[in-house]
Amino acid sequence: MLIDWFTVVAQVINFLILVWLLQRFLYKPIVNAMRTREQKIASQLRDAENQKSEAEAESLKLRIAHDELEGRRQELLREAEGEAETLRQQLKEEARHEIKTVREKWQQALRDEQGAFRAELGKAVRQEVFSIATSVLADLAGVDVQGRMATMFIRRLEKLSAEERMKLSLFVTADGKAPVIRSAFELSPAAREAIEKAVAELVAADNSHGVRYEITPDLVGGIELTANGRKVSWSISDYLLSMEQRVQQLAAHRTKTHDQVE
Amino acid sequence: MHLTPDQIVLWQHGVVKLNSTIITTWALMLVLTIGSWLVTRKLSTNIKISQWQNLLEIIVGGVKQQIQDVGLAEPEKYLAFLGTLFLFIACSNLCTLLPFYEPPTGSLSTTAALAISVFVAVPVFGVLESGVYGYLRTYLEPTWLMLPFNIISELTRTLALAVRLFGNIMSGSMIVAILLSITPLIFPIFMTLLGLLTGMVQAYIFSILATVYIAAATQTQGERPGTHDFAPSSKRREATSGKPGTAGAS
Repeated sequence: MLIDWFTVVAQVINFLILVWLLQRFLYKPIVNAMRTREQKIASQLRDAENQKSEAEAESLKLRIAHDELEGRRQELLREAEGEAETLRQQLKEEARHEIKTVREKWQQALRDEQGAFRAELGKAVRQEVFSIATSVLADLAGVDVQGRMATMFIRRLEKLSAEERMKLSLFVTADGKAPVIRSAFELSPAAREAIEKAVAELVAADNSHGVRYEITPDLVGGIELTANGRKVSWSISDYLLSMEQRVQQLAAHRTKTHDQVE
Repeated sequence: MHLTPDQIVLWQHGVVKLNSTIITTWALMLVLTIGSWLVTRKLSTNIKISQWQNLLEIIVGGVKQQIQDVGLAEPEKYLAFLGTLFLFIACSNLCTLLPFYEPPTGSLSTTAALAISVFVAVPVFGVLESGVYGYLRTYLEPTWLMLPFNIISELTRTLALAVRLFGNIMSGSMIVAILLSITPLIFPIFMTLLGLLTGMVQAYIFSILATVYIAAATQTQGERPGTHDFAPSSKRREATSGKPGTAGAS
């Protein structure tokens, strides 16, 4: 007989005891430990998920804040650019205005200087030309230039019209003072005599006051009669002024040509 | 040469006797219990665990998973019974490596005891799950005409469980013993290895069939409309057909 029934009963009991023992020492602790660990892991995963959600929310918040800041920055930048542009235009305008003012002042100063220089030059040229002409005529032709000038002055007086003569006569008599003869040089006695005679003829012998002589270097080779503001003169200044105009025209032409070449 | 370790009697007083089967079983029980206690007395619930705890968790987890795969929704209820079946048979068969070891599963008394345990456990779990009426109704499924066949099925499958395990293990031990006397060099080693494989397969088959029987007993309710059915259809058919030998033949 292969089956021993006592052994069968004993093995059933043994098996049940083993079931209880393993349940007590193996399955229960192991299953509990596994469950605890699974719960722990699940909890950690949940925490991680929560933290991830929080981090995402935080990230979103930060992104929104960043976008706002960026927008604000752009706005400020645009404002600053606008202000800078306005300031730049203003400064440019001021600078342009200042430059214009300075240039106008400079041009005025230049014009003044130019005028003064021209006057000075004209005067020097007149004196020099008169001096040369006097010397040349005296040396070459033996001409008494001053005498010739007195003669020319007397002719000028003589050529006055009747109306002018009358007006001049009236001025001389009304004034009650001696008419003034101005010249740039000392007149010779002959010249003086001839002039006095001519003046006497001009005022119809009523000249009881005589004639007064003055030396005025500015006249440059000229003689003039002044009576009560009325004036009759002869001078080489007209010739010299004509020459000066020619010189100025020539200078202007040269300047224009030079600008075109540049 | 003994056909069964029951024949090696160490002590006897009347019908009460201590044979090799009982002594070896006690030794295995001691080893299993002490081994479990040594590992589980300092279990860790942290992420990092010891190698032994890891091994036991793999075994327990694997058994649980198998039970669940067969169709038992709450495997922890059945873990102690089915897990112990597997562990006891597997350890008993693995120890055939040891010299002079006579596996208790090579005794028809032991396999009969285990089969009887399954025979009793199936209605117990069935009644606990579905109630007495609900469990008894399963014998009338699908019609009352099947009642005698269902009863025969219960008996035959228990017998088949006992004889299958006994036959496989006993034959393995016998073959090794016979070959040792004929060709004592290399060939018995291969046969021992084959015996190990057979032993593990038998442990798996025994426990999985027990699981299937319990699943069939507890889940007949689930076949009613409106409830869930967790059992794989092939295993359920086999469990209710009364032909256990078709699944367990080796």
